[in-house]
Amino acid sequence: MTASSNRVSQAGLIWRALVLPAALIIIWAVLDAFSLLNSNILVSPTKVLVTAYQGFADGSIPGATAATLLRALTGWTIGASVGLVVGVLIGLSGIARGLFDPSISSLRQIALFAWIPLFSAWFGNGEIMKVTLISLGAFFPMALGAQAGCQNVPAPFREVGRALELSRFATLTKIILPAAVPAILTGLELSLNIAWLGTFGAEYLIGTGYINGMGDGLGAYLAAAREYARMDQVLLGVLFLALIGVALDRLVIGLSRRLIPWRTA
Amino acid sequence: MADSLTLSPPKKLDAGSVKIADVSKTFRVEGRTVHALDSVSLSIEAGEFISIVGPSGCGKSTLLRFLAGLDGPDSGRIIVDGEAIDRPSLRRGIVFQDHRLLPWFSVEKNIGLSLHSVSGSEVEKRERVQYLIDLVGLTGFEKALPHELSGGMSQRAAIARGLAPRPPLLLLDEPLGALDSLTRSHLQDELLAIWEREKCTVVMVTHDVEEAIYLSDRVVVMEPRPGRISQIFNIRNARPRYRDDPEFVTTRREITELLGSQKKKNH
Amino acid sequence: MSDVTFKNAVLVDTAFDRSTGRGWRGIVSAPSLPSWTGKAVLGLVIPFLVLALWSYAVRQEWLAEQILPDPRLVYETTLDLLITGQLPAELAVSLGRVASGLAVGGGLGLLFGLAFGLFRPLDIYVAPTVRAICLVPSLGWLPFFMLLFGIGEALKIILIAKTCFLPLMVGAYEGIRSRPRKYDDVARALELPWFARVRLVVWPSILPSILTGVRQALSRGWKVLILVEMISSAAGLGYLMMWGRKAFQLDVVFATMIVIGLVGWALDYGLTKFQHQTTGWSFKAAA
Ligand SMILES: Nc1ncnc2c1ncn2[C@@H]1O[C@H](COP(=O)(O)OP(=O)(O)OP(=O)(O)O)[C@@H](O)[C@H]1O
Ligand SMILES: [Mg+2]
Repeated sequence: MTASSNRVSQAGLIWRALVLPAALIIIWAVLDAFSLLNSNILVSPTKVLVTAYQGFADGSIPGATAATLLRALTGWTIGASVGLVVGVLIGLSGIARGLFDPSISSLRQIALFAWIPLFSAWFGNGEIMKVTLISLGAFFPMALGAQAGCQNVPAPFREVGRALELSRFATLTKIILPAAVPAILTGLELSLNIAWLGTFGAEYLIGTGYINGMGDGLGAYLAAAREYARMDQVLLGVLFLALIGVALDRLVIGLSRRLIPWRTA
Repeated sequence: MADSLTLSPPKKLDAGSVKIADVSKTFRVEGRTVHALDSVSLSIEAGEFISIVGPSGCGKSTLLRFLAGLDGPDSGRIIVDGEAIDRPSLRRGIVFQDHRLLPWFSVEKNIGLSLHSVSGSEVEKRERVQYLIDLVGLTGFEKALPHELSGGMSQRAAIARGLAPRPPLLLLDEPLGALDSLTRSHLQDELLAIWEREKCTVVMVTHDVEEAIYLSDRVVVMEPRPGRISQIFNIRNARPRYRDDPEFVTTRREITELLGSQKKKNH
Repeated sequence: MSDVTFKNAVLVDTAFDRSTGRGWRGIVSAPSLPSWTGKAVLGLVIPFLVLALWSYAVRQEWLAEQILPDPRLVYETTLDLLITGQLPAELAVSLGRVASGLAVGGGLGLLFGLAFGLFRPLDIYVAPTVRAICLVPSLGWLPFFMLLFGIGEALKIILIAKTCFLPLMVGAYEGIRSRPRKYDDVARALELPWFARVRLVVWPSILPSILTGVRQALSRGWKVLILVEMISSAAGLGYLMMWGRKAFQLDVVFATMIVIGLVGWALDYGLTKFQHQTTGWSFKAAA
């Protein structure tokens, strides 16, 4: 994507990319300086900064972020682990695939948040319900990735195993699983993505008061900010949500690159 | 330009003469300078069949692209029928080394594409396409997509696409490279028949010395680094030619030895 | 979050496997299972077990009926909602929203993607900002949009448009940037005029990646819509489901979930079929 042409260096590209945002912020600040902004809808940049400072000072933003992060990671760990086991099983055994694949494919079609009403009736609006929902969301991409990885091991690899007369177990650990790793990693990344968004969605939906109870986390923070029409807080929360999402994403990709240097495909 | 082409056979006999004068070209590949062509000169008469042989990387495809007008040389001039080439034209049909059939179109549509800019009725064009499909032996594969064809079938479809607009100058880049020997010799005879009937000029790149001698009036042997013409062989045998004819065999040995000595020189 | 960086290789591949013959043969590679009947029987085992357990649980009154309705009640409610036309009506509302969101957002995304792909200055100066804005997930925009646009119809359309924007922008952009250049020589050699070049050579080569974008847009848009409808709506499937939950009519919730799943599946299946029909070459040419 970033095939920099010979004329423009990488650093030059970054500078150029920053021109537009800088211009927008300047326009924003200038409009604000001449008080041309409707302060309810488009708050001033300084106000957002002040809010950020206050949020960090009183601990509300780090607290909300930590709660969301903890929840997302818990749900991700549970969902991805189960997904990995089920996915590998389905990928390896024709019978397991015949048994589970149709059910999983059908359930996967139901939008994640469409489970909320059911889960909230079953598990209440507390932690159990949220973590169940997040785990469910994280489960599907992981299972799918693991299945695809194990199922699509290139035939030449399998033949190596046969030629070396490896045992079934050795074939699994030495050939199939390593070959499936890239697909499994993709599943892992995707499931973290969904876990993060699922956490936010669950918190937000329950926090809006349409279902009783408020809860904590970034979602609840944003829901409250919206309820009180605090645009500064909304902007701040949205920014945080995006930044941490991207950071998580990079972290997992970076870690997986480091841990597993090879790529099949 | 395109409008001057018609689907009926050409009447002029003098179309397709080529003058290549002092053509040079360098490429920069990963910081190094590659002399793809170094003052290459060659005159080709209208109606001649010329083959170019030479080791890989000696600039054969590059020269052919210049003739087609897809690229231009750094210095030197290429003149076709008295006009300097500055862009591609349907009057110079090219068949690429890697067939380049559009993967989203069927064989039929791929061939038909070369008639898009040619004047003529739809019916006429469809007939021409079908005629060419039959000619290259792809009958029954009209609706097939390129990925459903074998390498040789794709090449034959590409040849048909090159022939469709009846170009006075036909440029072929290893057109029979991926064919089995039987289809290959069949298509060689087909190519000769087409050339004799259409009275076009043909410039063909090939790696097969025997094929070059079998088909051409002249065989141009090129050498690499820098890419230039090392020798030109006139083949005077009357057609049809026989591969075991003593003269044929002698010429083949000469060319093969020349190519072999080039290889030694370069290693 | 960067939904783009997930290449979706896994999802696309399996969808492909399923809709062609390859996956089927893979499944039946299990010992001695003849054709699709065996597969269907095997696939129905789990649903039947769940259904049996469910019925048994209801019979034994393990859980309150509001929490676990009788499966037969769910079935009857589904039929009822279908026959009275309530479910189709809500479905029509939801589908209409998705369609207009896709038309607006997808159309804009297509335009932006093409523009970024074709004009280098735009790609250098404007695209990074647009991408950065797109890094904020659609859900994150929800509170912002709710403050800006209220909770009316505009909110839903805009949010879905925002969701559909990115996949199409990326699809069009990647299509243009990674399009095989070698066919340009063919177009030049055949003296195709400008319009024919775009229509016959350029457009078909980027269509596969655009269609993949549409598919992604639709599946994401559908999921986001359900959430917005649950939060703020007086119509649509999400609303119906939320209503069922508040009235503790879980049979309605179940019925709606089934429909949501079915429609999500049908949209994706239909588009995949369409994709294979129109740009099937791209799947096979690569293999
Ligand atoms: N577009 C290009 N950019 C850079 N270098 C090029 C380009 N085209 C050709 N070359 C270089 O020019 C030289 C001649 O290439 P060319 O394709 O003409 O060889 P060729 O004789 O057709 O070889 P082959 O028989 O393998 O097809 C090669 O060294 C190649 O690396
Ligand atoms: Mg070549």
